[in-house]
Order: sequence, then C-alpha cells, then structure tokens
Amino acid sequence: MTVHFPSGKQMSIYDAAMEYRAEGVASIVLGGKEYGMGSSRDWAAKGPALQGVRAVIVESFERIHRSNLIGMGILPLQFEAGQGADSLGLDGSETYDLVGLAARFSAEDSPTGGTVEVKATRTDGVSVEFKAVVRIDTPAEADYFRNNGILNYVLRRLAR
Amino acid sequence: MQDTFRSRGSFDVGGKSHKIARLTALKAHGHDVSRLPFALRILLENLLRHEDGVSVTSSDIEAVAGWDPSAEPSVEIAYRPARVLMQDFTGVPAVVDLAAMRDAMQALGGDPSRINPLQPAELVIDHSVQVDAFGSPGALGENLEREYARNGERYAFLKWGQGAFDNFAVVPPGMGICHQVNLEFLARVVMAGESGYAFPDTLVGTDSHTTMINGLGVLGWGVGGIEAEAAMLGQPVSMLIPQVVGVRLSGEMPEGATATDLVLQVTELLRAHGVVGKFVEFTGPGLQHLSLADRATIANMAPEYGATCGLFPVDQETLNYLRLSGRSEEQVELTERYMKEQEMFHTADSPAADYTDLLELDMGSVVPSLAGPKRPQDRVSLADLSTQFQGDRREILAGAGAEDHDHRVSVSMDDETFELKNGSVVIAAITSCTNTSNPSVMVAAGLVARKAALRGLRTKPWVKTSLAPGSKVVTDYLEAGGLTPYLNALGFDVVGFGCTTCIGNSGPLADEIVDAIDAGNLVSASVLSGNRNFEGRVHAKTRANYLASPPLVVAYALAGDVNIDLVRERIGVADDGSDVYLRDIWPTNAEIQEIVGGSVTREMFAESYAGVFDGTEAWQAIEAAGSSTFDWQADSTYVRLPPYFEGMGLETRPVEDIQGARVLGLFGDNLTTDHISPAGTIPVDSPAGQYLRSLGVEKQDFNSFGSRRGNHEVMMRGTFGNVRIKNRLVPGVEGA
Repeated sequence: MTVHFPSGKQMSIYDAAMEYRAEGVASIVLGGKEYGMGSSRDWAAKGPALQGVRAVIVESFERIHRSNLIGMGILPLQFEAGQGADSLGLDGSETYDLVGLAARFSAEDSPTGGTVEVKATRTDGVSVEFKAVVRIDTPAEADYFRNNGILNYVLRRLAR
Repeated sequence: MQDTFRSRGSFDVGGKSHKIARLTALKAHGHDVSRLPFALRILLENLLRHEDGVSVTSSDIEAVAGWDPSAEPSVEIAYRPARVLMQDFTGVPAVVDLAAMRDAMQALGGDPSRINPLQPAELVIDHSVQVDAFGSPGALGENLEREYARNGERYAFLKWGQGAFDNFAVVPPGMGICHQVNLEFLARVVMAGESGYAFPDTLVGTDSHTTMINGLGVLGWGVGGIEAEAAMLGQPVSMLIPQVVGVRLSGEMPEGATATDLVLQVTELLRAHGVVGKFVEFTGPGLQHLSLADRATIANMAPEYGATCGLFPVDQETLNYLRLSGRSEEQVELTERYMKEQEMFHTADSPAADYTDLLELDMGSVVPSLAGPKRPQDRVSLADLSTQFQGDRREILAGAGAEDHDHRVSVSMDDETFELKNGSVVIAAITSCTNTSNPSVMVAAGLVARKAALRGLRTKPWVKTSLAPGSKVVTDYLEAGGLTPYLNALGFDVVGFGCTTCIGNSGPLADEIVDAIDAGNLVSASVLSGNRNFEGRVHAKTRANYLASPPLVVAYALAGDVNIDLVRERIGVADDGSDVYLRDIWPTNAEIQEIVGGSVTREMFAESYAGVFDGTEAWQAIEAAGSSTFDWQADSTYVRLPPYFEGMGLETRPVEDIQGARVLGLFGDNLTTDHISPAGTIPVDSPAGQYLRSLGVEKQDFNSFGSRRGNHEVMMRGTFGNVRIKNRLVPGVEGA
C-alpha cells in the first residue's frame, strides 16, 4: 500500500503508479541502505520502470541491482554520506525536483558521477534542498541511461 | 582494438592457424602470470583480447595481472563471457525481450531478422516438469503430457524463437537439465570463434547453478536476466576483480563415501570460512584422484557455499572427459594445445598459485553425510542423523509455536495400513544435476537398489519415490549396467528428464498422507539428492529436508524414517527373515567402478545428443510460424509484447531533469529484490490477481509470478507487491 498525493488516498503501489502516470507526474522511490539486496532479479528493475519510476534515491545500493536500474533507464541516486530520508526530515509527502542531469548530458557525451540538486517541497511550501550523488559510474552506463536502457541502446546501434 | 602488451599472436593446431592473446606476453612487463589463480588467468585473457582503451584499458589488464591476493576488491572490469546459458523460467522473459526488439526494429524501418544474440545463447527447458505420476512405468510419459498441457503457450513461443533467431538454440523439454547438458554437450572449453581467435570458453547463465561448468575448467556463474540479455547482445558484464580462495585437496575418498558427501563437507568448510563474493579454486594433489564428474558435483554447489564459482583448472582428466562425452578429437586437441600454450593446463608440477586464503581438505576424512533440515551447509554424518533429527524436530515445532509431541497417525491407503509420525520420509527423490551428472553416485544408487531388491526389501508405501536424470545418458548407462529393473522394482522409475523435486516441482503428495501430516501436525521429512533445502522449497508439507547422495536416497526410501540409525540399526528384513543392514547392501567402490567403467561409453553420449535439439514428438508437433517477428496472441496470459520500445525513435531524446515528482514508496534499509518483485504466489486480491481473474484465469491456474515473467502486465502489477513489504508512507501496514 501507499498514499497517492496530493489526494491523500491510500491505494496499492501499482494503482498509485498508474494514477501518477495518467496525470503525467513522474514518480521516484526513496530507500535506505543496501537497496536491492538479494538475488539478482531483472523484474526488480523492469517492474519499477514500467510503473513509471524515474529515479531511486537511497543510502546505498546492492551492486548488481544498481546496474540493473540503469539497464532499464532508471536513475540511481545516493544520499551524500551521513544523510538519509530521516536526517533530512523527508516523509515522502513532498514534491521533488531533481536538477542538473540535463545540463550534464547536453554538455558531455557520457557523463559519470557528480551530483544533482534535489529540492523537496512540503505541502506547507517549505522546501528541503540537498545534493544526491549520481551513481552512473561508467561511460557505458551513461550511454545506457541516455538511451533509456540497455535494450534501447543496443537496438538503436543495430538499427543504424 | 589496442594491444598495449603486444600479446596478440597465432598458433597452429592440426594444420589450422588460430589467433591468440598470449598471457605470457605480460612477463615482459614484469607480471608473472603463473602465480595467478587459473580463474584469474581466464579473466586476464578476456581483457587482453578485448582491450579497446574504453571498456577495457591497459590499466584494467595490469590490475588483473598484478592482482594482490589480499586486497579488498575495488577495481571494476568489463568482462565479456563467450556465451549465455538459460533455463525456461528465467529464459522466457529474455527471449520475450529479444522478440520485442524485433518488433521495434521493424517499427524503426529496419530488418527485424538483424536482432539476434550476438554471442551463442542456449536455452534448456528443464524447469517446468512436475512429478505428478511416479512409481510406474508410465510416469515419464504422463508427466511429460501434463507439462505440455500446462506450458503450451510458453513452449510455442520458445519453438518460434528456436527457428527465428540465429545464435540461439533450444533444447526441448524432456531432454535433460541445463547444467548437465552444458557439461556433457554444450560446453566447448576452448572456443574458436568467428574472430579467428581461439580463447577459453566462458559463460553467464540465468540460473544460479551455472557454476557447475567450472568443474570442466569453464568459468561461469549465474546472473540476472538483464545482465544475461546484455551479455547476449554483446555488452560486457561489469564486475569487481575478486578475491580467490584456494582449497587444497589431499588424500583419497575412503570406501563408502561419495562425491555428494564430499561436496557437503566442502560446503560446510567454505560456509564457515566465508567466501561470499569470492572465487574459489581447487588445487593440490587430491585433484588427480577426483573424477571430472566428482568435480562437477563440487562446482555445482558454489551458490550453497556462497562463492561466485569454484573452478577446477583444465587438466588431463578434463581432456579424458571431453573424449568420453563424445566431443570431437579436433576439439580435444584444440583444448589441450591452447591451454598448454597459455600455461593454463594444470599438471602435478604446476607452480602453486597465490590465493587470498588457502584452505586444506583431506578427502580421506570424508564420511557419508546428509545436510539439513533447512540449510545445505548444515552437514550431519549419517551416523548422527537419527539423533540430530530429535533436536531438528523440536526446533521446527517450536519455531511454528507448537509443543513437541510424538503423535502417531494411522493411514489406510492402497490396501495397506501404516503409521506416520515425526520423521517419516514422505519424499525420496533422486534428482538434480548436482548428482545425476555423476555416474558413480547414480550407479551406486542402482547397486543399493539391486542388493535390496534381491533380498526382498521394498520401499515404504508412504514414500513418494522418483528418479529424474539430467540427461538421457543416465538411463542408458543404468540400463547397460543392468540396474534399471531394480530401481523400478523399488519405485524409482524415471519421472522426467528435468529439475523436478530439486526446484520444488515435487508434485502433490497423496491426500491421505497430507491429511495425516496435518492431523498430527507432523514434521515429515524428505531426502533428496538436490542442492537446496530452504524452508518450503521442496514441498510445503515436508518441514525437514535432507540433502544426500543418490544411494542414501534409496536407503531412506527403504527405511522410510529418519529416526532409524542406518549405521547401527537394521534397514529392513529380508525374504528369509534375516535382518538386513545398510552395510549389507552398500556397494564397494570397486563394484561401482566396474559398472561405471563397463557401461558409460562415448557412443552413449554421441547417440543421446545426436537429436537433442529435435525433442520428443510433442515438441515436433508444436506448430511454430517461420515468421521473423512473433505473432503475439492478444489473449495470452503468459507471453505478451512488453512496451519497452513504444514510441522509440532512432535518435535519443535529450535527457531531462525530473520535475514535480512524487514518492511512490519510502522504504527502510535492506529492501530486497524479492520485496520489489516477488517470485512466488500471486495473491488473489492483489492487482496481479485481479488482472488474471479479469481475463478469466481461475485461482488454481494463477501459477507463480516466476512462471509469468513473460507477461509484463502481471509483473508490473506485482512490483513492490511483496506481502511483507513495509512502506513508511503507510506506517503499520504490511504488504502491497
């Protein structure tokens, strides 16, 4: 279950994802340490991608899951060391703007690392601003991300 | 392509010239390759051959060549495995994606037939057969028939793929288990590719026990679907240069102990040491006493000991096995020459490699063992099992919040009346590539059956017995050795050539048995020659599950009870009224080797594998269009066209910042992939369950999320749908 904002209605995560998609609202996921641990399962990246998840911000990633997220065009972001949803006072009801990637990707071919500026605006208008580390670690991953996933990347290469 | 170290050269085998990326070239740059573990030499060759200055740089190569055994892994490398192995559970979605790429290629105005695996990809259909029928001559045919009835949509899709894609081969149902087929037939050990290079065979697989092939000196392990697809499409697998733990084997296996006992001991040893995320490599004088099949058994269980893989370097025994299993003389010669040329051929005189740690194992200390009741690393010697079970039982009952008890429940079934209690063995399964690929343990099982049957012993009526070989070769040599009639006499008729009980496809127990287990809240047991026994994996009604060698599986089917001490108590009573002990029916190593030597032949392998891609009549009867794109069925609930490429153009769109986003879920630490995408039951009232019901699928036909991975509509509805997921946006609520 989750809560759909701004309606405040409780519904299944799938239903909320579909509401956001219908409204043209991007969705993101927040998490803690070792996000995506356990056996490597491709649907753990494919499913969120199809639900419309654009970015995941966590304290740390399990290695293979992070690369699977990029493989499906989802942006893996990491809180800066020592920070997390709790320490930043985030409860998930905020509206999020993640800025900086567009400029990087228009200036460079295959940008890796760096940070984005995140602004989380609460319903009372007060906002929390923080930096998140971009976990696109290699040039190949940047190419996959630019193409919205590894399958699209390979397809475009073969189609030329 | 770059060649910083001037490693590229050529060598001749049988009048043919092959290009080669020589490891020895690194010596001129101060790197002594002979001190590297063999597993790292394979990685090093891979990088040398693919040096391009971008994905593989000269510093990556130097990082492997100058590997520091004690360093924490930190250097990420781009590794390009030579091929991909799949099974049907995980392979279907990968092939669905390839098929969707063909549609997308067409939409982009390109030629769909250009979408193919760029590396050889092979898929073995082994995960779907269930043990419905057993203990009868017709069981094999009956189970195969039901398998086709349940999986028709997926099989028609795979058969289309078999014809449509280049570089893609499907081994149809009923032929064997992917890892055994890989060992006996698919693996090349040394490949000679279109590039003109000869190079070590390497692979990734979509099944965790892909590691078995390391027994044949081929580096391989299991990965997730996206990584496998990427590898298939020629993209590198990103990995950290690992630590490598050596296991020095010495001594010889004593009389009465089997390779299964050895692997359980290895698992216990390595679990205690801790090898997660590391490579393991076997070395030492014991190697020369270890048959290739025994090595494969040990390599198989790498996921159980926690390692990425457990490699046995190529040596004379590897070559002998390649010949025995029907590989061409040309292939064997290429393997030998190449490996020697690269100083990758292991002999007794090979210099000792450096390892992160070096553990010792004296094979002379191995004793008949089982492992359980729920973890493969919890080994217990046969002599101790009956005692240990008393503790296991109390723990299992306490864990379920129940009082310890000694309930007896009377059962009347098929004109027989008997009592079930805690410890009654209700499943005895000779299953799993771990063991069915090993003629010595399979023949040992046949010999126990023969000696038991000739004394008039019978398996207990409450035991569901089954034999599921991993290839047709097994039935051929059991037949040639004269053992089949005795296995059949004890109910170990062949139920299928596939994974069966090993992955939980045990099929139902008789209603009378289930009712008795429920009525008495009994801790019933299974004994299986598989590699895993997590709670609930083997069967929902067997709460104590013990892994054991095939001959011990037969023994426990005869005893029907893990409370019996098979070392000290009788296993049964002969026709003449005399007591029979396990030692009376246990074969000697010489007896086993006599039959293995006389019955397992090169001709058998050649014959079994000649038509392996043709399949049974049922496969041949499936109609598959010869179209280059798949004819997606609008009413299919298993195979659907995923929307990954909808609206995609040839050019990428500019990357945009994410504005005004909402949080779908806020999760705590350690969220697992199983929380994000559960594999098991599809709850009736979940979005996925509602979707299936809306299409007229009845609850009993829901099947699992795992089996419906070819249908994105089901999978996206199940995402974040684990019944135990905790989303902090809804405090106190568990589940999707």
